Amino acid sequence: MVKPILKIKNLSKHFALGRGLGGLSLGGEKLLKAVDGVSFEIARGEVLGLVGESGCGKTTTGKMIVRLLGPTAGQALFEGQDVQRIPRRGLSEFRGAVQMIFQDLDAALNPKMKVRDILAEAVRLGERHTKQSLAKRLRELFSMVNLKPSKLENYPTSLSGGEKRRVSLARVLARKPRLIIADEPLSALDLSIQAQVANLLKDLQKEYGLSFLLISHDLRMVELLSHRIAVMYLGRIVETASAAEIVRRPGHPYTSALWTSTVARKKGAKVVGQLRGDVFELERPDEGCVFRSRCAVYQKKGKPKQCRVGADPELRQVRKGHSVACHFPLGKGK
Amino acid sequence: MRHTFTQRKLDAAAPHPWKRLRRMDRAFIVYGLVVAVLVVGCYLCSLVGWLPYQLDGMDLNHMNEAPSLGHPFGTDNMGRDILTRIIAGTQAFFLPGLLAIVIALVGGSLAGVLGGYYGGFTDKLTSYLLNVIDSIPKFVLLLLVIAIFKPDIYFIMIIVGATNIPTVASFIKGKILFLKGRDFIEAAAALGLSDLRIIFKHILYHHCLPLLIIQATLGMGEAILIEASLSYLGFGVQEPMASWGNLVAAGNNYVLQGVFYYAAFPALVIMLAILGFYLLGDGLNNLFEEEERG
Amino acid sequence: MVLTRDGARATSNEQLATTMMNALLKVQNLRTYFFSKRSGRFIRAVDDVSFEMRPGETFGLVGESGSGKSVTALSVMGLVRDEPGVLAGRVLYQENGKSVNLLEGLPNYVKLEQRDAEVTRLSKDNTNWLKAHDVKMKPLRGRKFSMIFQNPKSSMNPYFTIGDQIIESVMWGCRKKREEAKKQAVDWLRRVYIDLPERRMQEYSFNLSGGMCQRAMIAMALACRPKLLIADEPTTGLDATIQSVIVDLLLELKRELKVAILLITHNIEVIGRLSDYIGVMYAGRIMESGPSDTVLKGRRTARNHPYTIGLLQSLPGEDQVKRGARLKAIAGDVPDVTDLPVGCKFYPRCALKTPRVDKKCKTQEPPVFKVGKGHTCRCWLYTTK
Ligand SMILES: Nc1ncnc2c1ncn2[C@@H]1O[C@H](COP(=O)(O)OP(=O)(O)O)[C@@H](O)[C@H]1O
Ligand SMILES: Nc1ncnc2c1ncn2[C@@H]1O[C@H](COP(=O)(O)OP(=O)(O)O)[C@@H](O)[C@H]1O
Ligand code: SF4
Ligand SMILES: [Mg+2]
Ligand SMILES: [Mg+2]
Repeated sequence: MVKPILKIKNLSKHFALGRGLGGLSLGGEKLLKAVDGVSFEIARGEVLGLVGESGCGKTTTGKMIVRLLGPTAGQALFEGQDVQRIPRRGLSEFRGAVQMIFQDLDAALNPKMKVRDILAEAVRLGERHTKQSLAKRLRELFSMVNLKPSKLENYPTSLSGGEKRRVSLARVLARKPRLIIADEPLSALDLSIQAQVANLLKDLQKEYGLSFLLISHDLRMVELLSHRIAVMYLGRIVETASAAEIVRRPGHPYTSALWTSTVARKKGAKVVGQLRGDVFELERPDEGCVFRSRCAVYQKKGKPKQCRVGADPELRQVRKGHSVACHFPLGKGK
Repeated sequence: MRHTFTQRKLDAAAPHPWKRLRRMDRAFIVYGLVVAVLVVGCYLCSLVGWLPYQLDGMDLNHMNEAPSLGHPFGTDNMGRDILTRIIAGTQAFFLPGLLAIVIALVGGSLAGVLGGYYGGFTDKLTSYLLNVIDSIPKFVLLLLVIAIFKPDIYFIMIIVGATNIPTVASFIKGKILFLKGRDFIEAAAALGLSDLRIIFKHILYHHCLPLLIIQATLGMGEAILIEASLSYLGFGVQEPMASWGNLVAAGNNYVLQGVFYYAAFPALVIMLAILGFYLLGDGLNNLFEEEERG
Repeated sequence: MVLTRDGARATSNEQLATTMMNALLKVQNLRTYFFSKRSGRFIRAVDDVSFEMRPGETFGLVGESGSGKSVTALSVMGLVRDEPGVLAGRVLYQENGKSVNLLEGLPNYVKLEQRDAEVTRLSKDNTNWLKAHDVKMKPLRGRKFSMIFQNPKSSMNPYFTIGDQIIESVMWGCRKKREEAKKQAVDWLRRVYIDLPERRMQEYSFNLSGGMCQRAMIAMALACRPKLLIADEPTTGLDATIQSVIVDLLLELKRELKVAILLITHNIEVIGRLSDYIGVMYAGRIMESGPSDTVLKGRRTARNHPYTIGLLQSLPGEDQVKRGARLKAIAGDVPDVTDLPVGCKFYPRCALKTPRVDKKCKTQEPPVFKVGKGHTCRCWLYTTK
């Protein structure tokens, strides 16, 4: 068994929902469990897709992996080492090895700096260069992301969305990362550009054997780009399986609903297994399965007791490499 | 109102932000720059002693004289050339004013960064301190300081600088929070840039420099205002040092005798100078905004 | 009488009357520009757009961001405020057999100077035009035409409760007393599946989730049974699951109320499920328009526009599920509306142009060709010669 490049163990992040009054928080704070006991692994060269509705904790998970946030509990192990425990000396190496692509197209692009300077800054963090070798390296990075070298002299404001995304990708690649956390890399892009960038990500991944955590709410894109998929709901992983398996034989009612609501395109098509309401308008139950208020299976089975009491269901293997956190996984006998 | 729009040629370069600025703003900036250059020039001249007349050269034959070719702004009650004293008067506020600016900018940046960048407890502490400073009326504080210590202009300007810290800090903090909201700072940190580089290069240099420049021009305007008003009241720069406030105060005694120019010229200079710095700040603000847009 | 969907060609008044016969709204050769001070060039947001809607029918406008969908909608509503704004065209609205041109008198306020079909200089008295236009539009807005927007949270006033806002719009839209309006508002909230409507009436928009806010907006827009609902990206920014809830709701209400919907979105799934007719916008033009199943075929043989074909093929669709497959992306970048090519606006990215038409594509803008029943295409491939 090869050692995974990233191993997440029981990672949690709780935010205090303080009813702030003049900056002072009064007692009785409520906790928002943005991420709640998440575990998964990413093998070297693997793309793990993380999908779920907005607000389910995907970005928070990603930020904990790159050590922008500290977890409330649990660990993220990069190449066997707890990222929170990396000493100062090793930090710059870690920052190079694990990179994050942010959802905001402009996040990585200082509007006052030329693209050339933005990239040079990133390159210089890990490599020593003369003027000539730097220019060569920048051209190389640009060709990796299919951009014309003339764009190096542009300011970010004069770039289109697709170009911005490519530049931020080049900036990330400049650090020669081994693991990339890509937070919704496509969602801010135009329709016709999404496919271009998706292809680019795929090519880069293959060519350099990169490992990816691909965060998205678009199950279809994730399905296309990932090897394995983890589905997240309200801070918990509810299902993991290979990408092909998860769309062919979804185990969790939530995954199934997510998939069907994504692909219906026919005129007047009704979505089967429709979800009721949305995450936030329903009270989050303290007990039982957090998904039950929207769950079609729960309704159909007449609100069984298992779902109402006890802890949230744990991830259990239903098939080889396919785990589901549900008392009544779909496609497993009636 | 009928407006006409004409499409430019494709290859024509986009106009400089300066060109897109309203004519009024351009005039403000030009005027402000002229004022700034004059003030700096006067300060340097008086420093090296290039003055039309000797600063304290009393000439009892020419007391309270009306403007003439020899004395364009007239002379004072001791026959000293008023223009000379106005030029030399820049010494009274220039360096102290710079001190106030430096204190406000450095202190404000520091507090803004502590509050916005680090957040948490440091944020609470700094905003508490800033609120304390902000809640004391500036003039009361100034008079208090003058009453306790001697009326020293440097002392006064330290207070002025300190009272401006909250304004600068809130600007910087707001900017940082905005950048944070757009993942900008996290993206830089995730790349592996050090905190210092992010703070100085990315935040302060690239995003706050225009703001700091504007605050500096406004600061100089305020320094003139405070120095002039306190000196006028007799709490600022003391005779026989030349200061614009002193000139107006001294001249006031002769207004009823019909010697209006003694007070009027210095007062006019004060007004035009303060206006210049304020308009410069305003114009630059619009210029930077225009630049931001394009 | 065969209806042509490219109303652009209708010239004489007589012809107009007949083509209007059972149309509710007919937009002809609409042109809306803005001016970019920075580059000193026109932003040709909407250029020569024509389409037609019948009562109870849903017309979907699909296109990438910046293609001019919202500006088209705002132009119809008379809500374009920035200069120069709406420049030309007609918006014909028919009710009870009478048809009026909502843009009547527009030519009196606008002067265009053109060279090679491109406007080089224009002048417009926008202030007075808006004044005149508002007189005509005010009684229609909120009564006959209503609109919902993307990001319902920011289009609701955070200082008033949801209830107050709905009541307000009912009072204006249906000319109702407050008491009656209140009852109607509660009914409507229930109708859009908002639980505990009485309680929700008391809440502010920021306390509701995006999906719920959008449903409240829909209730507000439909409460007075308008003839036309303009839905500008009603599901964008919402999660796929909530998106499909909203689509279902719109489907249901559309069937029930027989309201015509101008649906604007860049989401092909949403368009596909809701629309009867589809217009595909690109660079301010409707490149293709026709019955939705025809347009969504996305094939050269179905005489679809190369852009439509490219767009549909670039989606990771059901048939794309083959693992490891690359997507068929459209090459090139989104067009810059201040600097469009002379000929076909899609020419630089078109993968289907043949040597036969290449020269024409490059130098001449293709007109609207009729390629099938109610199906038009702006593409030289389908030149009828
Ligand atoms: N700094 C923070 N303070 C408080 N709550 C936060 C913070 N960051 C995120 N959250 C909350 O945590 C939840 C998960 O957020 P996020 O990870 O961004 O979700 P996703 O990326 O899946 O959309 C959300 O409800 C969000 O409001
Ligand atoms: N008020 C305005 N002023 C200037 N340009 C505008 C304005 N509104 C829209 N535009 C420009 O017009 C074009 C079309 O915009 P829009 O109709 O909003 O596109 P979309 O198809 O995404 O709805 C865009 O390039 C946009 O930048
Ligand atoms: S007109 Fe020519 S360039 Fe334009 S879409 Fe048709 S084939 Fe392509
Ligand atoms: Mg997120
Ligand atoms: Mg729009």
